[in-house]
Amino acid sequence: MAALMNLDEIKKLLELMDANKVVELEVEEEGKKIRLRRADGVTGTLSVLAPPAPPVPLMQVPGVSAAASLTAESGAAAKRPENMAEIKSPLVGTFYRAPKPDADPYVNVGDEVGPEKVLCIVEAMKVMNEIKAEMHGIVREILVKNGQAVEFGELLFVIEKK
Amino acid sequence: MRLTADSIRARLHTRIVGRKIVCLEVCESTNDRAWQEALAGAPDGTTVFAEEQTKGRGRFGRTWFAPRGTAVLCSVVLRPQIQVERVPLITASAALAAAEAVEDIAGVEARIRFPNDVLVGGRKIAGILVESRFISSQPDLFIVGIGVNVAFGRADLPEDLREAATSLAIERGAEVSRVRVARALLEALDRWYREIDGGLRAIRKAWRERSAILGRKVRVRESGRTTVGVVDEVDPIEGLVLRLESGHVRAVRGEHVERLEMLENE
Repeated sequence: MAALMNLDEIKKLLELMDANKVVELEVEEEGKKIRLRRADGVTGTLSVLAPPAPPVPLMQVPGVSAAASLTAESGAAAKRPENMAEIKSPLVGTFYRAPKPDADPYVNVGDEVGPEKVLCIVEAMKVMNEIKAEMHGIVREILVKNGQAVEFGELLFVIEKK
Repeated sequence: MRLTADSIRARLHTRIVGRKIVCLEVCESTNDRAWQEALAGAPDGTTVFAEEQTKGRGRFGRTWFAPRGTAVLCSVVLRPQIQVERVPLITASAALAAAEAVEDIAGVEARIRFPNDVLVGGRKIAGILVESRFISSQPDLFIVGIGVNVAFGRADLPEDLREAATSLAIERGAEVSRVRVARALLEALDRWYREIDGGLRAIRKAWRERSAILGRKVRVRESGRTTVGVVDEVDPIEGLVLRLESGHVRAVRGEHVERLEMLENE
């Protein structure tokens, strides 16, 4: 562990987790990995990749866009207008936009959707979870790529409510 | 002989699974019918059987080979009160249950190819497909679809499946009662389902012991990235630990595994 990072760095990460309400954190460096997890609350992740990547390239905090970094973008995501609803992943899994590999996606940006409209599947160990729109509106953003791994609370879609 | 609720229930020893049993001649998919039952308020453990599915589904629209009356096809409504982190245990407990039922009936060793296939001698004998519903980010309802190949012989299989699939009748070398299979399956699922809340250690141990991939070379795809390595560890919650050719060790969350293929060990 000492070779991976020193205690001060771990402390800093813990402070950062606390400040951003992150409860779980995985750090991977040259094939070594440590995971920090607080006992309470919901899960977010903070990935720190080994050099040459910058120390904190990607951060996912519940309520903030998955694509947002710690910089100005997170502020922008938080200021989303009230009529824009965020659809987040209820579980850790793999995101699929279509029911099978060669099929059309469930939805595209600009599509009008109703409450029962399936937007995507998030699969976790063969548990297939269809995510429904649960509202009337128009799909304005799709933030995750087909086949991408998603975390708990990760933002998947933005829907303009009608 | 057709499966009936009475014949299955006759000597069934379960607490939750099979509390209500519905047996159909034919349906599009038992999972669909189980959803209907669940949404109409069916209790935890309600099980739907069908002699034949016209649109039985595997993962991502793949079809499931099961001519009428040759398989035990069922879907079980489960309503566990669990934290979201334990969702993978639903698949694990169903796979463990199917493997135990296979061993019980055919007397041959059954293993689990992560995360949801049950194999005998490297050939698939049972499969699991789970569908779920969350309410306010909490797991609310699971429909656990299980298919067990029972009565077909090697010659009944389409050519492309002959090396890949097997059945209880083939493995046992004798006729097998589907009612007994159904009962064994429900009883095993009932035991494992009740472990989900407190028996994490038992599930982990069985998951490891029954793994078809532990110590095997595999190719794993996650998030569009492919990794080849030897499986060093398997855990229903933590996922896999792979030893790469470079000597590095890499942990992969089970929920992020998009596809896993077994390769020949060198």
